[in-house]
Amino acid sequence: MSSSPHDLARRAFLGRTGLALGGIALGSLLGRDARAAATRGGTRGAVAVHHAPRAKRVVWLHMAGAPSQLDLFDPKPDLARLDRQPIPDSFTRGERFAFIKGTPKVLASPYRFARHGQSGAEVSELLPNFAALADRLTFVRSMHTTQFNHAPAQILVASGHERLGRPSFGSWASYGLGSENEDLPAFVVLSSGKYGPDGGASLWSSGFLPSVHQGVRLRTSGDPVPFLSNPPGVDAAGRRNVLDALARLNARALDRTADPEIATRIAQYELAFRMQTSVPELADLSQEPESMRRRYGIEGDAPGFARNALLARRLLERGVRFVQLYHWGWDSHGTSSEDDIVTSLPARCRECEPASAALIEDLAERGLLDDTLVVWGGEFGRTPMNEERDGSKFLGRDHHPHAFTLVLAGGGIRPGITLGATDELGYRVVADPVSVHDLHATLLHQLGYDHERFTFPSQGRDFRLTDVAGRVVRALLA
Amino acid sequence: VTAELATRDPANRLLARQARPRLEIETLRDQSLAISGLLDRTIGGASVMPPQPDGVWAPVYSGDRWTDAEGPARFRRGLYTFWRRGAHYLTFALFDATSRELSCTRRARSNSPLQALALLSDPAFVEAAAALGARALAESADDAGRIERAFQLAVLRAPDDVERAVLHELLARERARFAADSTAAATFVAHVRRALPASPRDPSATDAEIAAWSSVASAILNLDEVLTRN
Repeated sequence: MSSSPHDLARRAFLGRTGLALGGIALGSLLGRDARAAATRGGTRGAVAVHHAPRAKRVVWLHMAGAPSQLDLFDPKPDLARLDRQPIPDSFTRGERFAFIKGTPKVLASPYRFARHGQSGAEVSELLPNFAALADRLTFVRSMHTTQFNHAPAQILVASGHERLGRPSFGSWASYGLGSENEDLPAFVVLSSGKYGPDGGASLWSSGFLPSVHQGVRLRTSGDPVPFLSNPPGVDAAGRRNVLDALARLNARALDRTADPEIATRIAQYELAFRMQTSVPELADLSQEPESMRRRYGIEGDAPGFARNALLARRLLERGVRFVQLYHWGWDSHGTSSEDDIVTSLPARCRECEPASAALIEDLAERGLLDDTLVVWGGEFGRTPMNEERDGSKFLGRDHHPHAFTLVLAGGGIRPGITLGATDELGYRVVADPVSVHDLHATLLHQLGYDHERFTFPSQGRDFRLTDVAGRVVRALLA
Repeated sequence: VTAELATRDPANRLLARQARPRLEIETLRDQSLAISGLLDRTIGGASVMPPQPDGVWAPVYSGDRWTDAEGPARFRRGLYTFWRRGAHYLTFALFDATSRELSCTRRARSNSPLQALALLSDPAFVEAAAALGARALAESADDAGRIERAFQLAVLRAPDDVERAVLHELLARERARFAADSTAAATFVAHVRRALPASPRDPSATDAEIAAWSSVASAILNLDEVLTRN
């Protein structure tokens, strides 16, 4: 085999970095000017799609704590009939609950449901904006999961596995599809509410994928991206002085060693400099008209879900591949008015639902909904029974893995349908069950990937987002 | 690959060359602390919490807080940095440090803009740059000698003429900038005060001089040749 110095450098480069680098490095490899490569826009993904994609990007609105499907999406008249009576043993024999002890009593929903739109989707009075959008939305009433505690259930929804260490969906999307905007990360996370999600940073971990694909959490106070601001006393001119010197010195090293990784490094320092401008610009909601801020329900400058929803639209508009929102506080146990279904659940709905609906409509008006997958929902469902922890008089429901409802929109998902059904008390799925893996397989399908062939090798085997399960739910496809 | 090596041993049978991986982040941290003279070499003891921004540390099911270390503990080796599965020290996580949720046979070696931001703005690296700048100021009497000294400490060789010229130009620009803006210089020096030698300070080491030399040191510490094993 002939070995010119150029070949050696190329092999060293390919061997060392493998798929870890995106299009910037490849651009350099092809002999393009590093700076030009970085400003061209778009980092190529590592994996070609398997078929024509219906969606290019995803926004996942995760209602952390798990909203009650029985009070929002899945009306059960039998709950009213059996209200406060012990639930028949046939439902709960052999069951274990997170908090419920003894024989629990059935709990009727205090909320009225009505049919909406041409599709006649049933939506609770707590969600008037979703009701108005019913024909754009897809309700999956037959979701089920294996986990009934928040952190593992959230991690399962985020990464396809209940334990820590697997790449999250957003990281897979970033790895496979790359970025459409060279000035912003491909996978962005926003969190609102009193606390972050129980799963913590594991929810946006890149696992065994190269860390460049990990979710970047834009924070609501301080720097939106870590270390975005210059240190105190250093201004943009000073940073530019350092970077100019650094670029010249590194270019000299590149001449000397012909290592294309140096070109990548030069480009990444320049991208970092551009992000110092692009990210604050992105986060500056004062650029939006007051009418738009009102539409999302943004009040003042306080952080919150509505702000994050509008930020999500700005991110998607700018080509960010995967935007993950978390909002705390849906864990309606009924131990106090802070977590019951009478006071707390409506409050969470008011915080999240108008802005969620505004986001979907806004995306539709901008022509972005067609190729943006919107997912709205929690990590599991809630019991048809009142929890009554320690005799609590507040009404609430315990964690329930067997059935919950998820809302989808856009991205080539068939709008205006309600898929699946639960039994007369909403305890178990009785038609068209959809597991978390099935959901992931379906969403990956819309992004252009066969979930069984979209893999990454780690520890001696090829891993996938759907682990060893999952099937595409054809009934959901438009 | 130099022309000479490529001619004498095109297939690298003599193993005179090899890949140039970026150093792992713990080593990078240790290296910049060592170059700048800040490194605390104490062996053993409890884990420490080097500074990291508020709000990034989010452990699973926990209200524990991160409290930035003060004193020598701030400058301990990276291996003593407090670590919890599922809640990582931000800068290490940005550089592919494993989550320790699974055993790892090979750490990824990414090269991202967030890494550039961390190396330029993480207080650990800003303090190292300031300390290296102050060290160069103290250990040589003139600009030429100081640039030689700082470069030699970091790169383990003397700069060539082009490198020398680039660094002198950077020094001149930053010196002018900080001389014209004493507030910026004072603000910067206050920010890095924990990394600067305690009194008595050389009277020529004004805030503007320290800040300007910190910029030069920051450029040197961010050189690919410094971040990479050669």
